[in-house]
Amino acid sequence: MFFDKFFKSSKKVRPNEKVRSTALRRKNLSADMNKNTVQIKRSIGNPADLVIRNINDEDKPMMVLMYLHSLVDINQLGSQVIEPVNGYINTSKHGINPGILQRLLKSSEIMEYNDIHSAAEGLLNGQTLIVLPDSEKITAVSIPGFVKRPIEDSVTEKVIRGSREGFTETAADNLSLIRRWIKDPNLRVESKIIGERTKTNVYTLYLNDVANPDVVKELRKRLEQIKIDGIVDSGYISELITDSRVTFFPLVQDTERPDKVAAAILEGRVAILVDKSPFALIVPATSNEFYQTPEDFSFNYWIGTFLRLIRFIGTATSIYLPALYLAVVTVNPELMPPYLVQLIASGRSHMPFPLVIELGITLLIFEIFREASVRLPGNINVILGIGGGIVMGQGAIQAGMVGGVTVIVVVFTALASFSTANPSKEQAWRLARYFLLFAAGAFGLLGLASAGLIILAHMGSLKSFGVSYLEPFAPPLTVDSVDAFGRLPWWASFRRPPTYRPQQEDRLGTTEGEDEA
Amino acid sequence: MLKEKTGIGPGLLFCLVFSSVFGFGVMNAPYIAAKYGGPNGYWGVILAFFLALPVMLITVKMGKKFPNKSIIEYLPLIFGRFIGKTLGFILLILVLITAVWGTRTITDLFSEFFLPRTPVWAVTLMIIITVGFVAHKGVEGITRVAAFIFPVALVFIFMAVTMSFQGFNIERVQPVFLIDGLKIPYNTIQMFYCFFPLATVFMIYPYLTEKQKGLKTVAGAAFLAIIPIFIMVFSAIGIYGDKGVLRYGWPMLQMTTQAKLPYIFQSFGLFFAVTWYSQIALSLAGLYYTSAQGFSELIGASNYKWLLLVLLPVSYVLVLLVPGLIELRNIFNYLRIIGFGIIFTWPLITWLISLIIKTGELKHAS
Repeated sequence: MFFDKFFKSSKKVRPNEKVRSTALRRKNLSADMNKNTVQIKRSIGNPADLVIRNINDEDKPMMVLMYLHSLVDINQLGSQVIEPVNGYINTSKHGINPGILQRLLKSSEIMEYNDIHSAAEGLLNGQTLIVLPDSEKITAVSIPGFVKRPIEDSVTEKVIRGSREGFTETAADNLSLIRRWIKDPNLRVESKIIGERTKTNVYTLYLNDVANPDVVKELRKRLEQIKIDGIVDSGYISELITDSRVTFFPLVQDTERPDKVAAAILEGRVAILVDKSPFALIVPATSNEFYQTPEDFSFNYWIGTFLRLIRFIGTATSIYLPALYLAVVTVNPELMPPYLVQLIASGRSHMPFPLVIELGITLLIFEIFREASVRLPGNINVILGIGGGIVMGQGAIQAGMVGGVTVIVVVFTALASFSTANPSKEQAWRLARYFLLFAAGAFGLLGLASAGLIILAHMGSLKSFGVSYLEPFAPPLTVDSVDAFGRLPWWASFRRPPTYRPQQEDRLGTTEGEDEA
Repeated sequence: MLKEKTGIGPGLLFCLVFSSVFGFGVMNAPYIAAKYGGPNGYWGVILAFFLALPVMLITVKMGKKFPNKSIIEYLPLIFGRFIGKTLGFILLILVLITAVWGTRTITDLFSEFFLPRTPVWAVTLMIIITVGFVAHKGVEGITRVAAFIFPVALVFIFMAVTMSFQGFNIERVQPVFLIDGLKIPYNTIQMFYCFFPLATVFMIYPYLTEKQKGLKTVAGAAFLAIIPIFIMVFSAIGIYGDKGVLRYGWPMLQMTTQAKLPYIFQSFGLFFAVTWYSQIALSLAGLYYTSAQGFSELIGASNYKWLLLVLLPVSYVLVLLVPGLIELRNIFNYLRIIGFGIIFTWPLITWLISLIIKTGELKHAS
């Protein structure tokens, strides 16, 4: 409560109006071509990559082209703008006015600006400005030529069977990926510019006749309230629109997979695409969503159910195993078979540290290995894996610093943690693991149960855009709960998940079951 | 923010009532049943359930009469401001003492069996923090945790019940027709303590979204909770005999400790204790929430959370005041009778008077 209030009043998180950038002020264009050119040049600080090309008919200035060569495709500019204009100048004795210019240009995306501010923004967005003499308007053509990554397989959410498309850093490309999945005229795409300096394009996607209008309205409101100078990644948006600022659990789902986003939109949820970020956001998000993958639906529903159960067991193991091991060995050994107690006790008889310290340090070392390995080049990563994982682990056991069972527990925990289908959720559980570990170290199974209850109570109090984070388990929704632990066959899934309160509960299209009904 | 209305559906209420009745009732049930009912002790559990039915019925009826008011809010409307508030205050004191007693029970059990080297104050502190944190999350938070745990807890509870029938001898269980004076009625009153957490329902009933399902939900959950308690009492008397049960401080735990599945549940006792802990912790969270919410309504404070922060340290001191298990049980003897007097009779009297003076929605309807 205290933290909530503290963060709500923090001006660092949400800067007020006073600190907003006023770098570009609105100023109308004049009829003087040179004056307009100079003002635009000044307004963006005459950057090194700004190209100003004068096109003259003998000595008579015909037009000025302004563009940033880092953002424009020069070849396209030549063929779509310069060539037709030169052709016209060579054949016609008349000057060029905006109407003629629009007919000459071959580009499909042509804009007109009336003020310096908008024109400068267009320039910074990669447009080429065409300034004409005696005109109070500037024509702009969009010929993007910036470097972009091709569509590749998702890095963080790989599947054996399913789509190989992953999002890239270009929002327009990502939008096209979604549009290729959903060809419904009810798919709404709303655009918003966020970030005083980055002017980042943020798209909101939803099905007009399915998504809950309250959620859409609330999302618009929250996006509207964002006052920040820059959006560098969708993570910024995620943190700024979340329902609770003091939790480490993700309340906004992020994904690199367009098929996941398309499925979410079809369920009645709302997707957010952020330019320059390969991660789309989906709201509302319940805890259950983070354990599902598109692969569950690619395989037979029996296999899908099995995979989901394995994922739940894997996640539970990664969260509880170190704490359970600690509680059972140090505080409640009566839980184990006598032979196992002897085995572990004999292995630990010469250990220099208490188990809680040994386990804590080993987990921490593994975390450091993991963090380091993310930033290492691929080939060195393999060496680190062998050197760190096998040689150091073996060395530590032989030196009598760490117990063999401890290493098994830590390595298994680390591997099991990757069974969570979403990296954000997995990171959250990483933190929870230490809380459980120290509670179990202090109070055994009672501490473990208490820490578990505290985490659950915290999760129970969370909401994502009005939806309880623990749905469909709490409040209990019977069919949804079955579909959460397992995977319902498509022929039995007539309804969209009621968790997200869609406008249309029935999925469109008919199935055999519906026909008979 | 989205406009949110705090509300709980019948599913959430069901889970909370189950956790509350089971968690609060089960651990002491064999001891009390054997002490007051002898070989017939198990009948006390069944009859106590029937005794609790009118309380549930009246709670629901009053909830319909005063749909947006808790018992603390409608008592002054029925009895007048002073008497109503005094009655509410006494009820809340009982709820708080019941919560304190429950907290001390957990402390004693875990200190004795599983954490003998850990100081009692530390165990109590940990329990108070846990329960307080859950209570702080309010009615939605508590019920959601209860609902999330419910399926797992139910499996563990019924596994424990099934596996505890080791060495059962039917001859130790006395048939019903061998009635021994007033033992059965007295035992029934004693066993009514299992339903003390119904006080939580008095407070949270206004939050129920589908009030027409209230009785079915509360009675169904209480019935489901009382089944394992009954079986445990029955099997405890059948295994140890009524006098044998009294030899153990925690006969329930003794039974479940005997149960084992080699290599999977080497000793079921601890798993059962942890399952029970999760249930009683929710029960206590409900009671602490009830008392904080009730006191805030009584004094007109806006937020129960601040009152909770005051009540928890007070409760911590009260928990540690009782020196040992024997003293605790002596106090509990009185608490059970006083609690029965308040939880059973007050709703009944309140309902009768409200009928006589025609307060509540019915008055407006007529």
